[in-house]
Amino acid sequence: MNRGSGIKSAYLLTLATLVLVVASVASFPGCGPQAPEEQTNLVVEDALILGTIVTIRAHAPREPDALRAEVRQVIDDMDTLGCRLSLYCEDSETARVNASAGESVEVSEEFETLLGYALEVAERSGGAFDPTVGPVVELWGFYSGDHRVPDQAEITEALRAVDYRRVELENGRVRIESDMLLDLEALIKGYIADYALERLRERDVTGALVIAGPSSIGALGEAPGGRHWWIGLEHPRDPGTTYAAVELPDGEHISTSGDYQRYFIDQEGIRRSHILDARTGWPAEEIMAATVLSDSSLGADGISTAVMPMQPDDALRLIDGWQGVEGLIIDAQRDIHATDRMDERVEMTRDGL
Amino acid sequence: MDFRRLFGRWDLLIIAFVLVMSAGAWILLAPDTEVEPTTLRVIRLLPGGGSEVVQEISLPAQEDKWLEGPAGGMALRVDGREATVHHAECPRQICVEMGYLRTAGDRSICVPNGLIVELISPEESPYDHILR
Repeated sequence: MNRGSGIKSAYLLTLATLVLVVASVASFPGCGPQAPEEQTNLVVEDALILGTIVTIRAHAPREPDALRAEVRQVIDDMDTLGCRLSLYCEDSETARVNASAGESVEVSEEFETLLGYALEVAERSGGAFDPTVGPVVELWGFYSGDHRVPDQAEITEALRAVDYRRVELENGRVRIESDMLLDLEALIKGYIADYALERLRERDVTGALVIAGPSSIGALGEAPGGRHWWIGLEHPRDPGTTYAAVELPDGEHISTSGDYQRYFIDQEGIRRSHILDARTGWPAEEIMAATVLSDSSLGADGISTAVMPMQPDDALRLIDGWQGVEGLIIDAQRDIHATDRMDERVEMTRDGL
Repeated sequence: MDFRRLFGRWDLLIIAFVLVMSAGAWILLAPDTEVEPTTLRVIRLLPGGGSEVVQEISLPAQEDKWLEGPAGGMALRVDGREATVHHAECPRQICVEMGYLRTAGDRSICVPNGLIVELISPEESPYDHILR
């Protein structure tokens, strides 16, 4: 090759490198051409609802005080609805159904929807999740905070009162048997988060995240700057650090259930998660964390809780078979299992767990 | 292929210059994955709704604080640009289990005490929220 063609090759290489540099720079957020956007203000409001912190991050082209007042109204409405449904409030519909066990009780449309979904999740999970598991939860001390490991005879006895198939739900009326206890807490926060997102959408909010408790998020619209919301996933054994991140577009919801959220360590040093396998009465132990993406917070919360007591393969199969649902499972050995689409969407932020 | 014959000394210099400029542009313009916090803020949720800021600490700082709440309170340690709730008089101990808060946007929440400890920064956090 002569010297002239060498120089030509070098300049071609230089040109290609420059193109790459320009392309890289243009791909950085904020550096590429963008459509003009309406200026919005972001407000963040927190509230204590049903024993957990609910946070709404919302932005819209309005004065911050006006937007804050609207968000506070939505939070108040969430609180009112949640209190009507939850065991946290003495005169809630759940409390009324439990107090009238053995009798048929008229319930609201919202309660009927919530219980109907709980029974569907119970059925599809083969009873791993069961809204009547309350007596066993009580036995382990997860209601009172006085944790203990019950013996098998106690668990067997308590399990006699656990069976979602014995809950009657028909024409706006509910009846549970006299020894049963209904507990819909695993789903109520997701349900009221969906309600809040509907209210915010009606108010033409540009974008919002409704964060119901530390492990459930629903997205509306886009984040400030016109990008998708960007959610970090906390490492299940290294609090305060993330292991992955995922984009949350408009109308999508994400929830994580994990053995690290509420648990106690027993006298033998074994971690006892508050999520129980309603078939056996023992805490979930094959899965460390289950993260589910769904088109509702109710779905994401319910399904992530339901799969926790399962074997990882069964959990993934259940998620895969649910329309519009994606999931990622971290098993007890810290191996990651994900549905195909979840695998494509999740961006790992550290190597391995 | 004989590269010494293909590229002259000046050609190699030009390529090296472009590569160095590229690396410089990358370092200067690539977004940080973590944002250093500049302030630690403690928020108290009010029983009738709403919230108030009860404490703001400019970082870096070295401080131990006792924050009173309905469930007895909690002990906060600020260590440089990090913070942790290392003791709490509440049954579930979730705020203690949160460990260290390091990046802007990190929050530790004590539900029974109605207290939120958060790290904030004028810079944008890499995440809109971290799912526990």
